[in-house]
Amino acid sequence: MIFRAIAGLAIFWIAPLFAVQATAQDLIIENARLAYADDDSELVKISVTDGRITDVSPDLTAQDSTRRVDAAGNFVTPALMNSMTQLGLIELFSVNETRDSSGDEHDLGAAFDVQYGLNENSILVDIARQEGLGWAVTLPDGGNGKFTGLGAILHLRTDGSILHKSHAGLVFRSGEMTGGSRAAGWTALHDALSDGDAEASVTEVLAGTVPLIITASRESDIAQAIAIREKYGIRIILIGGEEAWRLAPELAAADIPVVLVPHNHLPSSYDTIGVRADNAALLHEAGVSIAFCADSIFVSHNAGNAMRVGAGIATAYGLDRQAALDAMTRNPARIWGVEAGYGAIEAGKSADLVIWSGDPLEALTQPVAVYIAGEAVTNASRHQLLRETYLPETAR
Amino acid sequence: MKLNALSSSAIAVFATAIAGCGETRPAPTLDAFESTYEPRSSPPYFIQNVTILDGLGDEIAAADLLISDGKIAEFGADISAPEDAEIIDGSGRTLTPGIIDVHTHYGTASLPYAVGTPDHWDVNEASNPVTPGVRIETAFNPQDPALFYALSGGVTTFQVLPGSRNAIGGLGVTMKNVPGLTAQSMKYPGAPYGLKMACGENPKAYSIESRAPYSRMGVVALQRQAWKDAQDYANDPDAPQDFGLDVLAAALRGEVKVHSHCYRADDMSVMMDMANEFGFEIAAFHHAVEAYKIPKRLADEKVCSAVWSDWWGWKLEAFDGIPENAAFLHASDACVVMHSDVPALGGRLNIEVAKAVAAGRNAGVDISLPTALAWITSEPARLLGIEDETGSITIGKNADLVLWSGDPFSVISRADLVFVDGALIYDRSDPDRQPRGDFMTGQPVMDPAP
Repeated sequence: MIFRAIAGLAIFWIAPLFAVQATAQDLIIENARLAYADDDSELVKISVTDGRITDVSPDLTAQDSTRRVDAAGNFVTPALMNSMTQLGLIELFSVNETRDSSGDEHDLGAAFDVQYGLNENSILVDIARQEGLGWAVTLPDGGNGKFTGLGAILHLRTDGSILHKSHAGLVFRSGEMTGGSRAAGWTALHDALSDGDAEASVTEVLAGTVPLIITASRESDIAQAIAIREKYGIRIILIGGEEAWRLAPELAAADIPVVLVPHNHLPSSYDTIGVRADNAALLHEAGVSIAFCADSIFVSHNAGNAMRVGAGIATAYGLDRQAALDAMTRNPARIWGVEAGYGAIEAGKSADLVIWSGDPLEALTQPVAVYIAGEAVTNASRHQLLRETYLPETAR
Repeated sequence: MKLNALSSSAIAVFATAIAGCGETRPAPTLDAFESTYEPRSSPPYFIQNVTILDGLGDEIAAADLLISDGKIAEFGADISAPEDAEIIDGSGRTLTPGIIDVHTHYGTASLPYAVGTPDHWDVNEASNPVTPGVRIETAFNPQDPALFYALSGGVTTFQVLPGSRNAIGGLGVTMKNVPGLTAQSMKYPGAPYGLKMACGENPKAYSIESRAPYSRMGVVALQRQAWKDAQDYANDPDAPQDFGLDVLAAALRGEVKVHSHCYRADDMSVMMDMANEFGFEIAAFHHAVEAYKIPKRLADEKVCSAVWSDWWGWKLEAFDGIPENAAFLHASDACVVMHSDVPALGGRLNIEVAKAVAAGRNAGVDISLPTALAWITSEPARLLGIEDETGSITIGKNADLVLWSGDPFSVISRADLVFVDGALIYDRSDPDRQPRGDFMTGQPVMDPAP
């Protein structure tokens, strides 16, 4: 009851956009190659003031006090955004004490709100930053056929709270069950949306202030999600979508974006038997807005690298590489409503930037430098400290 | 390595012979379910103007290679095609040995996974923590869709191992990745068996069902007792035949490769002590996420580490996993093999290598890509005891080959052609050479193939 009361009071809370002004000195990144400009296009300078990009041009002059960083002609992209993680909610999958991602045991349903369990000191966050991740959506997990709660948007800044926005969306999980029927889940969802005395978070969904996030893989469930959109006129974000390519025109027409694992090509469950490696390419070509995430062990623990390399693999199956990069930057910025401050390298956006050692979609590429809200990410991750402890003699 | 195994087991047998009755039983035979594999008949193939990465660290540009009678007949700059050979243009493409995956659960953790039913799961014989007598080949379903995705990713040879729930889990089997209707029709002729052991969290998980072992202590005690029983059995000609003890006795003689699932460095140390105590040799630790902490010991004991590129943190004993694991082992002259464990990696082991090399470079350990290719070709061949037949581009070896559309370590490259024993088993441009298996027949997925 107490939890419900808190959730009811927790009105749509937005962290003030880049309100923290303590972002130290200004910065100019020189000789930056904007992905994916032509190889012979001019290199640019990116100037940063108070954590924001202030100018992008080949011709900028640095003031004396400005810190200058030479990108040496390497690709520079916005820091990446992963659209489905449990960052800050899970440290070790198998250790229940470190899991705060599910409200199932408390039967909270739509009232479960991950923001109250968020661990800003999670060691996974350091690793995510080192992998070039600047933004992440962190979502509740839990059983299928019901609401599992409210997710949050994280901005992985080093100079303040990483919680950028709570109530990023209300999650409803559809799909295969180990008992019962998925049909019952859809019935329950219709009942909840039609209930004149709806729960607070459902009311927000009906009012259009919070999107309904539906996890669905099989075509039949994706069709049900489209039907929900048509019947109630609410915003829907689809997550999973392994068989979404079968309904690509319908999803585009219904303006439903799809968050997917870009490298997924295996019939890993009965709901994903129709998966195709070119799912992302087909959806993009049909005009569906796509955004990327990782899966299985990688969901949060390799939330940057696994998604980025997966996006590269999607380009081997027909996805344009700019589209692959957009699905980790520009598209999620729009889908999650943070495009005013993030998603592109242009004046006014938060200075969330990565200089890469090569093509950002290649597995052999690594971040050379990562900036979030203008601050260089310098704090060592636990991985890095272990690495230094056990560095082989030949590498010392 | 083989000599070491034989001599150490000989010493062990000798030592127990002195202590025991002085008479040994005849060497156990593990022969059963014999291979019926036959190489497919095929024309000679002549691959022209291709970049060869030989799996042994060398790169040969603008080479030709002739496949004849299932073998690598010739390769180099100045060879000519026989009249009856099919010519393949290798321009802009790269030829590598077929990928060898030493750790899979293909055919026994079959796709799709299903949580609510044991129908799809034949990985662990959980009736007892010590089951050396079970054989994964008696559970193998050759229609597992994962096999065909692995083939499309260049995997020509793989080992299926029992799972890690048992302290001693039974015999694995090495397979050729060709479509078949039985395990025997894919079984690699003459390849030694592998015996699965496990330490750490998984085998002690029996405690969840209130069954022993409850702790690492219990796991190790069960294992030591089993090896002692096997020593006694090997020296007792009157003991009734026991299939499980036959397997352990064969491992003591060096005739079975011991593969131990292990994560923590201290767990691996205990296992190596146990191996030395009883005189068997551990071929590899599998997963080995903390191997980077003890590379010298692993190199000295000649134990390989079969690893992922970057998995970590899903459970406590994987908490210290770092992506530099493979590179650090390599830099310390310890044997490294990349494995998949799950189908999602099994079709992309080339990218696993790229990720591991990138992590190494980031830490100042620069390993060339042709060198690192050995982690999924010649090194796993050696680990499985089939290095005289496959795992590298060497004249006379089986023509297990992959022709990649470009640099095999780039995400945009695909396997165009996959040969097993010189026969073209997979062709990305020919739907008739893209086996899918019966499970996927009539399912709602359409071309293109994986």
